[in-house]
Amino acid sequence: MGRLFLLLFKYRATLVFVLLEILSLWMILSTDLFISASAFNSSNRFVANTIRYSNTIHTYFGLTDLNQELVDENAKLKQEIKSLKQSIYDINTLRVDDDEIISQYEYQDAKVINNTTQWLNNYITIDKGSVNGISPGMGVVNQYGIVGKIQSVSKHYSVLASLLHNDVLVSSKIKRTGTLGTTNWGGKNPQLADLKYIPRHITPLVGDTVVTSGYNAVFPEDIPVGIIESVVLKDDKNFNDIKIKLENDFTKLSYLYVIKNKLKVEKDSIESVNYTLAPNE
Amino acid sequence: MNSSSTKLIVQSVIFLILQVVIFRNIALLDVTFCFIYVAIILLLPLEMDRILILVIAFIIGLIIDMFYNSFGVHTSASVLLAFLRFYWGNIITPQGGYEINISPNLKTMGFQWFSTYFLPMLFVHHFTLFFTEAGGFFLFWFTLLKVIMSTFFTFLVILLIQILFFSRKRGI
Repeated sequence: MGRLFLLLFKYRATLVFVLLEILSLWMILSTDLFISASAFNSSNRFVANTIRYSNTIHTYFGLTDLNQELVDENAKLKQEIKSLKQSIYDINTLRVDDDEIISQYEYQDAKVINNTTQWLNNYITIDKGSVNGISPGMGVVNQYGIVGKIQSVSKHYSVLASLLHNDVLVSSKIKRTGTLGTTNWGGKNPQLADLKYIPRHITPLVGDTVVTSGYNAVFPEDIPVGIIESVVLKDDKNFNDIKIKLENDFTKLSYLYVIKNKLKVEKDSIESVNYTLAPNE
Repeated sequence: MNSSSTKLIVQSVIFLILQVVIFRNIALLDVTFCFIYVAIILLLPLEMDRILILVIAFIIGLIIDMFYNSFGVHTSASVLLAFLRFYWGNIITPQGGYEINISPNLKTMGFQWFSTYFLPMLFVHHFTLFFTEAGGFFLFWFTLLKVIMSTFFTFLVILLIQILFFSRKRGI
C-alpha cells in the first residue's frame, strides 16, 4: 500500500494533468449545459461589462453607417405603412379581430456588445436580459433578416447562437415555390449558408429569395434569410445542394430586435399533445 | 513574495487584459488569430512546481473561455501546454542547465533558444485549440491553415512585446 502511494506521489503531476484534462473535455462535451449557465459565458455580468467597455470606441466609429441604416429602414417602413394604408379598404372584410393574434409578436430592441464570425459556433452577446422579458429560445432579427436564437439569459445580458452556429437550424422556404427546407450554416464563409432538404423535383433558380417558413414558433413568417447563389443537383442525391447568400452581413451587426412570441406556449403545447396522441390512434 | 514573482503576476494580468480587450477582436483574413495569453504559461519559471503550473493554466483557460464563449476549448489546450512545457524545456536544456527561478524570456535566454522553445509549443497549443473547436478533422486543411498562420502571428506579437518592453536597456 505504501508503495502504491509512493507511485501515485511520483506521478502526481501527470495525475493532476489527466484530471484537469478530463474536466475540460467534459466541459467541451456538455457545452449545452454551460451555455445555459450564464455564470460561465459572456452573459456573465463582469465579462459582459468588460466587453462592452472595450467595444465603446469601436461603436463610435460605426455611427455614420448605423445612421444611414436606420434612415433606410425608416424609409422602408414608411413605404410599407403607406402601401398598407392604400389597400386598407380592400382587406377590411378579412381583418382579424382577435387582439392576441394581432399583437402576437412583440419586438424588443437590443444592442450587440460582442459578436464573432470566425469560429464554427458563433455567439452574439446583447445588452438586454431577463429584466426586459427575454427568455431562451426567442428568435432575433434585424432590418435585413434573421440573426439567431437566444441561448442563455442573465439579468441584464443575453447570449444568442447566431445563424453562423452549426446547431442552429432555421425552418425556411423558397418564396417563389413555397417549398419547405432548412437553413444551416456550413461552417466556413460568414456570407454563405446551406439550404437543405429541397427535393429533386423542385428546380430552384439562382436569385430566388429564401424566407422563414413560420412553422416553428420562433420566427414569424416571411422574414428574409438570403438569396440562392448556386444550385447543384447530383445524380445520386435526393436533395438539391443549395448555397444561399445571407441577407445579413454578420461581421457588422449593431442593433437587433428580439421577437417575443406570445402564443408560442399555446402553439407548442397543442402540437405536443397531438404528437403524443398520434401513436394510439 | 519576491520582486520577480510580483513582476510575473503583473505581467500575467497585463497579458490577460490585452488578450481580452484587444486581441480578441483581431482576426486577420479570417484565419489568423492571436492568443498571447499562452505566453503567460510559457513564461513561468521552468523549475516551478508542475502542479501549480497546471492549475494556473486551468484557471487562465477558464477565464479566456468565458470571454470567447467556448467552454473548455481553451482550457484543455492550455492544460496540455502546461503539461508538455516541462518535457520540452528538459529536451532543449542549454549547456550548463537553466538558472534557478528565472522566467524563460528573450532577455534571459536569447533569440535562438526562445524561438525553439516558443514555436513548437505555440503550434501544439493552436493545433489542439483549433481542432477541438472544429470538433474533429473535417475541414482539415482549412483548420491547419488557421493553426499555422495563428502560430506565426502569435509568435510575432509575443516577440514584439518582448523586444519593446523587456529589452536589456529598459527592463520593466
